[in-house]
Amino acid sequence: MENVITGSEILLESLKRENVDVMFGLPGGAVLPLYDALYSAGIRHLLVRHEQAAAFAADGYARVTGKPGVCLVTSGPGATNLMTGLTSALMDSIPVVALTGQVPEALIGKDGFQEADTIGISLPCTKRSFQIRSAAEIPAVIHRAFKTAISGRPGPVLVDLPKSALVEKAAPIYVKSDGARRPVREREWRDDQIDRAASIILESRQAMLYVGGGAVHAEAWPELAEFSELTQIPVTTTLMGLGVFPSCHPLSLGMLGMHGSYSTNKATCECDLLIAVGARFDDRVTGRLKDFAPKARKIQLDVDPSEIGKNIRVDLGLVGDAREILRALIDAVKCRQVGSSGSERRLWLDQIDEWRSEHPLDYEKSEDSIKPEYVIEMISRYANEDAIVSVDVGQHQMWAAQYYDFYQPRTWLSSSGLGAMGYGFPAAMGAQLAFPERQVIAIVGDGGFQMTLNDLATVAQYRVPVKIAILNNRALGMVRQWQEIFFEKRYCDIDLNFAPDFAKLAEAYGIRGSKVEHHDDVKEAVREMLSDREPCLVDFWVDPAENVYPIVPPGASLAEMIVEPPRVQLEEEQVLDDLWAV
Amino acid sequence: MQRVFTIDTEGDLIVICRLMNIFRRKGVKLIKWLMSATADGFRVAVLFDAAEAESEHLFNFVRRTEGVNRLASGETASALEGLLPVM
Repeated sequence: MENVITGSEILLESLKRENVDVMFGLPGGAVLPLYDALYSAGIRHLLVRHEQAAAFAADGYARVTGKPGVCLVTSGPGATNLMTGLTSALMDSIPVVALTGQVPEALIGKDGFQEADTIGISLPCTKRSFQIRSAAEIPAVIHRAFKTAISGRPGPVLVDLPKSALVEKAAPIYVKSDGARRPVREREWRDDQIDRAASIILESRQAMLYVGGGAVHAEAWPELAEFSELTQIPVTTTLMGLGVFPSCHPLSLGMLGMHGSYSTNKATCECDLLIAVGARFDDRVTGRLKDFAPKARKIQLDVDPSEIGKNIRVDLGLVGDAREILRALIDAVKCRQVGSSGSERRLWLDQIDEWRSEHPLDYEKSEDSIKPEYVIEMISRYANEDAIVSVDVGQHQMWAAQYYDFYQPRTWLSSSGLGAMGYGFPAAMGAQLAFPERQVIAIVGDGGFQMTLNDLATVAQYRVPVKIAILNNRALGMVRQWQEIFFEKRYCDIDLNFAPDFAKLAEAYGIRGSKVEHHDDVKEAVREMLSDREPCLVDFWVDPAENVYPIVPPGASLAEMIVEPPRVQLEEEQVLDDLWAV
Repeated sequence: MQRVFTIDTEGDLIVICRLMNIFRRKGVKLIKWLMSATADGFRVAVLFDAAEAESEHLFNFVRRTEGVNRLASGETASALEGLLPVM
């Protein structure tokens, strides 16, 4: 007799064959048969307190490992609650496999209890979605889901699981995994294109590499460093690209764009060649499109052909795996590098240094209040080099991007494209599950943290040693900043003074919590936070009037960036301080 | 300029929904949308109006869409003739 087992058992075995070791989820009626099978399946499951956290945690797991993160939820509201997380993963090309329960097949389309058209809803939020109809098809669909999630341009894949398929019995025929460490990415670039690119590169005198998340997904960091050092071309990264090139490298320019440093944005305006590696010319990077890198020829490397020239016309598009293309470029440049333009490249690097000296990335130091930038600097100083930093969205995210020193790739988690507040804390949980021994620090704002803080229960229950640093400015800080600068200080609905005492809240959940209100206490608080292997929360009461600079006004060009607060504003900040005190 | 895409997909209507959503989201002016079932899945022929750069982007977007097996692009409406059986 054939080995006949339930769809739930087939599903869990299929997951094991895809090397799934942990899932993030929340059970409900439609997936009860699956959770029953999970009871003895040997796959770790982390019970989150809201499905959105399951999606964010799976995303965090995927970003730090490069492997698909897996989340599992029930039908209806369980599935709909996933969608923000899946959209975030789609925007940032993160491989997530979402398993959603569904009512039995006979009830689909009949508005049964907890039925939602999950496939319809997920359509624009995923790279692909499948609905299983029978137990027998589970192995092939699951294998395909994992393959799809990591192949080409990675992304989230959803598999909808009607309860009837989970209880049905079948003799499974499993798909043999090819066991490849790196996903297959089709090569569309040609050797003659590489030759042309090499010529353009060697002709240039003021070149820049503009590197995004695609370089992380392709694990192209060794080739990136080699190419940059070989050609002496400096590297700027997008928010997604942070960590792919060490901050401390002499050729590192840090981040460009809306909150990029003066010297980097200035260099972008003045460069004669811009080589985009896995970056998509996002509006937060380019500012006004027609004025972006106006003097530069542009070469774009991307695994997704539809990204070539999507936002900005490029002189040469190379479609394929960033790592392979960079390797080919290295070889081509080495073959042709006669009469090196090294001295002219040196002039260019000196020029950038000069701009950096004119307007270094800096902030007004103070010992009377806690400057959020200072907290980031202290975390950066005391965290291990392989520490993973996960952020929410807003001012704290930009300060972290600006002032935290990145040494390694896959150490920076941020909902960059979608900009989903509430991401940082659950994503940190996911990362910590992937690397239990490493420091994982969730740097969050008081606004975003209140969106997903219910998962304090999860970290307490499983003793996930995530460190939570809240930069608490008692406001939706980035919104306040925009209202201040662009809406004539008409502050509308940004006040978050009505919030719990986060330290006491953490204690209530069984997690060590503390509140830091004085500059002089920051250093010690950070050291203590990072000193053990237990979850903890530190609530830093930072200067509520602090703004993120530089800033490129929306719709403006990078050349129009505002480098520092206007002088008069510094006096007005005192007034604002008084207001907050009231 | 007018352009015709002929798209062969897997036999999963979700892929067709996805394609329709792509055309909606990209703001393409549709002139004709024809569809039929084939032995392997579905065939869609789309006649639309878009600037050249846009249609090139759309071509690349559609061809990398999951579930699309084959994509051909033509320049005139006559490319539609004979492509589809009458539904």
